[in-house]
Amino acid sequence: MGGNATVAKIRTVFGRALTAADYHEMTNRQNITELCDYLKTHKRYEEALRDVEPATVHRGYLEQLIKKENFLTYRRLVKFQQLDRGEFYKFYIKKAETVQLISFLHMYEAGLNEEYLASVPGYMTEYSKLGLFELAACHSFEQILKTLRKTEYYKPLKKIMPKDGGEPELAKAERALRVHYYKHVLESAKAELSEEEYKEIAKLVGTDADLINYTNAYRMKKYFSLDKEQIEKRSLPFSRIGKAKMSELYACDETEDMEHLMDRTVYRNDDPDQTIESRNAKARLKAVRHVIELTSSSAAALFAYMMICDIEAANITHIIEGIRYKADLSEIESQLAV
Amino acid sequence: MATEKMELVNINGKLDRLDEAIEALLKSGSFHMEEGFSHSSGSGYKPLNEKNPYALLLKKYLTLCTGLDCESEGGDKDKCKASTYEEFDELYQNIYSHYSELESKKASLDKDIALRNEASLQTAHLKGMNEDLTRLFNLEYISIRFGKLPSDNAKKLEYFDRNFFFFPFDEDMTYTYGMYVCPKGEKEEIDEIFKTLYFERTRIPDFVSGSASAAYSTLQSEIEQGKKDLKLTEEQISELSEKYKDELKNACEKLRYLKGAFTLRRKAGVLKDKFLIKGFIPSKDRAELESAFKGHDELELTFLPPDSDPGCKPPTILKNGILTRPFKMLVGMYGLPTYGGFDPTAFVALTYSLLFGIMFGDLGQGFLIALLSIPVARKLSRDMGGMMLRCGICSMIFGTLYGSVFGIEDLLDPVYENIGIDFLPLRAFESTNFILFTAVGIGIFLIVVSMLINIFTSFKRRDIESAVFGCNGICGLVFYGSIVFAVVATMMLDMKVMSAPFVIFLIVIPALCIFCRVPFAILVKYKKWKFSDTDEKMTLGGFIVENFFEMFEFVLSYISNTMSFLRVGGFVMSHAGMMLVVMTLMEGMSKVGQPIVFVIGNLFVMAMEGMIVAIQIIRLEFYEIFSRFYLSGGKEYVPVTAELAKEEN
Repeated sequence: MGGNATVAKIRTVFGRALTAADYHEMTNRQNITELCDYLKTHKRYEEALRDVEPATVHRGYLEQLIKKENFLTYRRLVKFQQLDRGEFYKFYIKKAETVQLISFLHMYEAGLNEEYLASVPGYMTEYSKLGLFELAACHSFEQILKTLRKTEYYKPLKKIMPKDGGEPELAKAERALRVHYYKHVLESAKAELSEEEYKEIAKLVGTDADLINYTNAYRMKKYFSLDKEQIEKRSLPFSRIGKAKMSELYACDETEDMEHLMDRTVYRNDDPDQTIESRNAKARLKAVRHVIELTSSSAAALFAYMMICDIEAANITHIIEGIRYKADLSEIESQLAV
Repeated sequence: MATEKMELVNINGKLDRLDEAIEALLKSGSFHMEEGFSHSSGSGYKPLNEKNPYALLLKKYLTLCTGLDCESEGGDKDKCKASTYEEFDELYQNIYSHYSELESKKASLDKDIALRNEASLQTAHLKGMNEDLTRLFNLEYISIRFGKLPSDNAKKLEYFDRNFFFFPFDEDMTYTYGMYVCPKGEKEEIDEIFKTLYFERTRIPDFVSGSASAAYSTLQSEIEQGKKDLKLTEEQISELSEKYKDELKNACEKLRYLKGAFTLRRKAGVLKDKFLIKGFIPSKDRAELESAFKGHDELELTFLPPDSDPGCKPPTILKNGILTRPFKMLVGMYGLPTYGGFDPTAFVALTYSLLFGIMFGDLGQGFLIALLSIPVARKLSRDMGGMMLRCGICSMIFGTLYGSVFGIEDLLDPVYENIGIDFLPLRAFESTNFILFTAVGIGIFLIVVSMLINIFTSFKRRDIESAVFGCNGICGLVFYGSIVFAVVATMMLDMKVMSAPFVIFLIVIPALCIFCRVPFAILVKYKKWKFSDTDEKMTLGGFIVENFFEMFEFVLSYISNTMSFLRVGGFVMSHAGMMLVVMTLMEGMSKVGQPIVFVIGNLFVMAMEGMIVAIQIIRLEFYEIFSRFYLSGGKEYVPVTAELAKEEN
């Protein structure tokens, strides 16, 4: 199925993305009211925030509406040429489901089932076959597995169940869900897309995984002083720069050495003032922006564009949090991925 | 036709003197800064990895300027009294404290008004309920909350196993409006749940009693009062802005400068407590740099030849006279020549102007182009204006030869008759063959000159392959020249030149040399026989196949490049043809319409054909001429002052 029109459409909506000037304006707002006011007048979010009253809107709801707009944009793009008939193009729904499951497992472990129920994006229920609301009533892993019995997430979670009948480690469950998501993306891309398109998707998945692995490894090294083998065990088995290079990173004694080594890869960062999260978001943005500008594949363009949408949502969340906690917004602006 | 002479400069000193050194460099203005660490790995110099303290401060100032709605650009940095970080911070705190007080007041009023607006909207929904609101809120065992929650979240309510009822009474695209009722004893817990569902509570003010209609009118009057207070606060913010606007503008300007200067520190190499700055200056500016460093005895300046650091490539400044200078823009578009390489600007200036004159020859239109060059140079681009002036003058000269003034072809006839020149003016449609042959002749001449330039520059950089055996070297020149001579002599002069020695020595042997240019060049240089200098495994078969296709391409390019110049003659005729159309249209008009058609026609031809001719000549220059001899790859010269301006932006 040709998707050239979708590529053109994605480039058009990409043109409406927030720019550095927009972020500068946003970080100059004194409170959530002013920020919401600004977003309401921006072409990208005017429709999503039309009925919202800036003076009384809750910051959490504002964040939820931004994410909802991303999801609806995805729906509009896949509907445009009926691309959603292919399994690959369901990737954003799978991603959202994976994120929700991981979020639920975190809250379940902390005994916050009701808070989870409140946090589930309501719009997801129209598109997901998972019983996201029903999960909130689960108070044991057995019940969780029972609720997920007829879904694709049952197998990966069942696999990590300890043989002694206890509950699995949260980190292991999180890793299993992420691996399942990336595998699904790659397998469906291989089955449905051309060789060239598959390569582009594999590169994007590799970039995403590299940066998640790097962030995790950096933290594990800095706060828990874990060694290479321990980090490798907890990492995702996908990479763009190669597993050997990533192993080299994990083997570093100090986080400074990791940074220097990272600077010799495609994820080079020239600004020493950046935090690890910020530099990774910038590297991710650089990689995907390049794809949108050059690709002729609707699959790669959509995958890359949705990554940009997620980065944009994260940027807005940073600003909202900065405003809420009265942080130095100039400092926040310099850490945004723009 | 050479580039400006440069000198490599090393500046050493103690690290605490680095700012002094940068200040002096900015004062001298002409220093092109390189990274002091990148090529000195052996010497142990490392980059200075430090936070720029002025970056955040500048952002704070810019935020303040935005908040106060005053300009942050165009200030005078010398008028700013603050100079240290602490002084800037103090000034900021001073203004910000006033501003934030007013801003908080404004935000609180905004919120108050919005809350009351919301409450009045909610109360409007309740107007039909003729119940005393105070009584509802004072029920002994039941709590009631009015408000709205996102419709997405409303559907979750049934999954909460708690003691509450939600009564929706309105819905729009985003929200569900309603009220929930719960036992007073569980009020806190239920409130918490609704809070997590982003329930926005509408508070009916405590003092409002009576029916919903009465509550509604009280809220309306409070909204009016709030709006008045808001206006007053906004006026106070404007006054504050008026008071500090100049001070803020100047401070922003100075902070930009300080931030830029600090960024230059990152280019210095640092070893323990010493620093090294490397860079280049034009030799003519050496004295100026020395005088900028006068009085800084702790800073050591070392001048070296430009090629003394193999890892540091000198930048290129094109050196041109007043007549040719504007054309450096075209050379820059193709890529700068390497330092010490051949600068073709003068050659481009001459050929571009002449070709434009030939292709767009008209005394009147050329004059207008020359006249138009003045505002273009002043308002748009100095170089563009300069090029237009020179092209306009050439157009006037050739227009005189063609006898064309604004497309009127016979206006100059009496002049030539009086002087007694009978071969002029040269009419395009009466001398078609002459014009086309001359165009090809010009092309052949330019291609030969390009080859000669290539031979000269290749010998200069000791590239035997390109100078002797290449398709644009001596062999290529002999091959091309002989074929052109043979064609001209046989077809036009009726001479028989294709004798066996002519063919063997002037065509076959040069062609063979071009075919074997790589092994021949290796043989001359290293006294060894090899088919390729890059591919060790190249076989005879591979060599023949590869060079057969290359040879084919060379021969094709000789023919196509020569024929390409036919467009020069083509445009002479196209210009005359288009003006003929204008004149024909004019004749068909009434007396009033004729001048209008004349003016519009001339303007149209000038704009459209002028632009096409300009583009076509760029094409000829780049493809037919530059490709024969030009090697780009030079580095742009960026003095520290320009780099600072870039950082500031």
